[in-house]
Amino acid sequence: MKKSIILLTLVALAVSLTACGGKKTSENLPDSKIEVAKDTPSWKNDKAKADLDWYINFDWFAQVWGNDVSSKYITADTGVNITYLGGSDDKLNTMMASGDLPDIITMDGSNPFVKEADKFAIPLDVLAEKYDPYFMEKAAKPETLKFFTRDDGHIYGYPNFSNTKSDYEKGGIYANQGFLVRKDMYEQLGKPDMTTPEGFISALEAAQKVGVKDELGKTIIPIGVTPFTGDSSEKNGVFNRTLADFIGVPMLTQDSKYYDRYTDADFQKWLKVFVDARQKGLADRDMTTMTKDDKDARLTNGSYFAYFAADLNSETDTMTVWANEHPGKEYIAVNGPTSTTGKKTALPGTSIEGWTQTFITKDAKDPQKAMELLTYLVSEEGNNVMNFGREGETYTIKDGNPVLNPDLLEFKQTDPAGFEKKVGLTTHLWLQDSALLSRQMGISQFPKALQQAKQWTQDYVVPQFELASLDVYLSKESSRNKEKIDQNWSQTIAKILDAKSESEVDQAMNDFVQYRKDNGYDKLVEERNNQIAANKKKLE
Amino acid sequence: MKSKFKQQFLSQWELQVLVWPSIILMIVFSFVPMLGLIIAFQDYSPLSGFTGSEFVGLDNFKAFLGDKDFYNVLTNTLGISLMKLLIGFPLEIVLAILINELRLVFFKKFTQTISYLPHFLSWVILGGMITSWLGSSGLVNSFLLSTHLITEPISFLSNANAYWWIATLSDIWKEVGWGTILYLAAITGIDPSLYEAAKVDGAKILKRIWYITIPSIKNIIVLMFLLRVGSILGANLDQTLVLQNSSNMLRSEVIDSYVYHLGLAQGDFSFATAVGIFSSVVSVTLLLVANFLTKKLSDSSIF
Repeated sequence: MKKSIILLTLVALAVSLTACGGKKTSENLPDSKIEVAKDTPSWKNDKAKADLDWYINFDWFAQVWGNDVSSKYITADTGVNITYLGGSDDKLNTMMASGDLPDIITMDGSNPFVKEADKFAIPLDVLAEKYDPYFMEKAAKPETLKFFTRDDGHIYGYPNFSNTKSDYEKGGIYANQGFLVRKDMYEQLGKPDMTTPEGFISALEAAQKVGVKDELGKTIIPIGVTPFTGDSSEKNGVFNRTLADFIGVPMLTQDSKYYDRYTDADFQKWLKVFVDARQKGLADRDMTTMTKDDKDARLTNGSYFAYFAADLNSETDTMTVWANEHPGKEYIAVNGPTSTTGKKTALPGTSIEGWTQTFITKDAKDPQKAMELLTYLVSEEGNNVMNFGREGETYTIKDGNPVLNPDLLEFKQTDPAGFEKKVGLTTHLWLQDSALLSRQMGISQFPKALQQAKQWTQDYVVPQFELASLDVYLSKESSRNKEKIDQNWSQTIAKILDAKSESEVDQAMNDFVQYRKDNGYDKLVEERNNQIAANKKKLE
Repeated sequence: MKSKFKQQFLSQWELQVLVWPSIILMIVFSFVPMLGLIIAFQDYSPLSGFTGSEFVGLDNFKAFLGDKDFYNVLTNTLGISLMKLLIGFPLEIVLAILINELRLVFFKKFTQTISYLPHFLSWVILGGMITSWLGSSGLVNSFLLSTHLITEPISFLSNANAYWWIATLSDIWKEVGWGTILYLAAITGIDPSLYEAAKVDGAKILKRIWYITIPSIKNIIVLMFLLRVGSILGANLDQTLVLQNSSNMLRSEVIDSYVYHLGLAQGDFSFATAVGIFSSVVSVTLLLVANFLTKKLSDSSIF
């Protein structure tokens, strides 16, 4: 920590001494080099070339521009050659503090810097008006643009994976959660109903009794869940939201206010079902402590009868390995825990806020080319190049939709990692429109081992736009309290799962409610309600 | 006057050349950054810099001193550090003396190498190893089950009360061998004739250790002790982050991880700096007190 403080202060000092001047603002943008038109994207007319730096704030992203097929097509079309820079928050902080920014920056939509985008980014609406009106007119989605317009009337960042209401209406959106069972055992047990508390427990008991061994010769574990720790995207396994989503606990109250899902009676009931399963030795003992590696090992050895997944996408590798080696024993999605009060399972699909946001910075060497690239990547045309390549070379059009050549499709579905590296289609996803891809490719966009589970989610996926960016704009005090309350919930849920009696569960819940109250919960909820109200306004 | 200064400087120019780079480095990397402490009193944003950020006075200090969790975190930090100090520190000296007493040169080298190997593995790797060893079907439980010492696997890492021990013992296992190096070096410097004289006088091995080895390395012991006291509030962030989980968080959250979770991960650098200043002040105070005490008690100290 000390080191980072030293580094930070050094950088800050350097900035204060050199003072950054000459930043581009909307007024002193250079004139457009071509005549712009609303109906034609500027990249078609602007034949100039440019080398741009694009910073991606994820240290796991290690692609090099030009090594794969799709980046070559993009450069050929737009004349823009990209140097990808990668890093984590430390690097982003240093860059922001030094004021020496790359041309384009992509970061997670919940990053604290998103709030201050006006300080480092040129508004996209301003750039579009000057260089590429096609962006606002045709390329970007109107609903998304509206949602991302700030109080000052500007749009600073554009998201990827932004799914709008009309996308949901058109269908083909998949959720990312699943209740999976081993097909062979499930059939052996006579396809038990696991949707009710009683059926759930008795199916697990039956699974334990059949005495199936896993690859390592150990007795099978009736149920496991997404690990609590490690780099999984969801904290607390499935107990943060997946279980609540499955049993249809509402996200909002009747009058569109933030709903406290944790204290919901049905949620509490199902929580106790899991406690019961733990007490009977039916659930993974290491549920709360295991790492992602432990979980991966269990899944690739087929050690679980049932696996409750909060993040299906991250199971690509484990599911692929197990299914490839054990045909007929693969994990399949079935109906899992369901409401005891008749509510419908409601799984979240990607929201209108999407995942990341991409900004063109005030330091951009060639804002015109940067804007043209952005327009290109956001448009349907660009998305096709990113996802499918070139017509006639890598794909053909069938029934109005692009279809990958059979060998490429097979490659993508059976070796997703190799496909990404060599072919790269769907790799440059920082401005990708996942809903469009879904409409074009349907279920075949997913690796084979996940297709059935993904298909299963389609009936239950619902938009939850009101909750978009719920915690991004919290005050400092509330965001600190939110972190504390989240941590306390983690401890509480662990305590509950280890409880020996029902009264212990209730005691832990009461303690949690009291802790929340003592740590600014009311104010946090108030701020969340404000955000929900603001979202609703933008969605009208 | 001026010429005298010049004369003196020239006469010792080699020494001056040696000293100045360190002084400059220290100014640049240790004193100039102190200016940055100002962000603890601001609502700092890297984008505004500390010239543009708003002053908020002592708000950040109030935020953590008024936080009930902070005292729990402080207790954990002190608890784990004190256990590491009280158990790990003497163990290093004992191990150094034991290694020194080994007569077979090959075995001595072998023991030394084996004992400090874990030091070279990062906590990320060790954390993964330890979590799987302590898991319900891991090494430790398999051993205990196969020897019929227990009938049900124990979930070590989900037991909050066991965390301090796990943290202490795993840290000792990793670092104890490495910690012996300084002591071994000091022991090597002891005049062998002292031991020979003691042998002639009939002193057995324990007496020789007690009356010759330990007094001879006393200064190193005091130095190492004071350095450790000075860093008692830094209870190893890496270790905490890899061994921490929801079940043991109550006992595993230390100041560094608290700062990481509530400050750095939220982009709240002002809060992080405020806690950093607090720990530094406490550490300096502890160091001064310990220095004063050792001076009184044993007449040796670092300043």
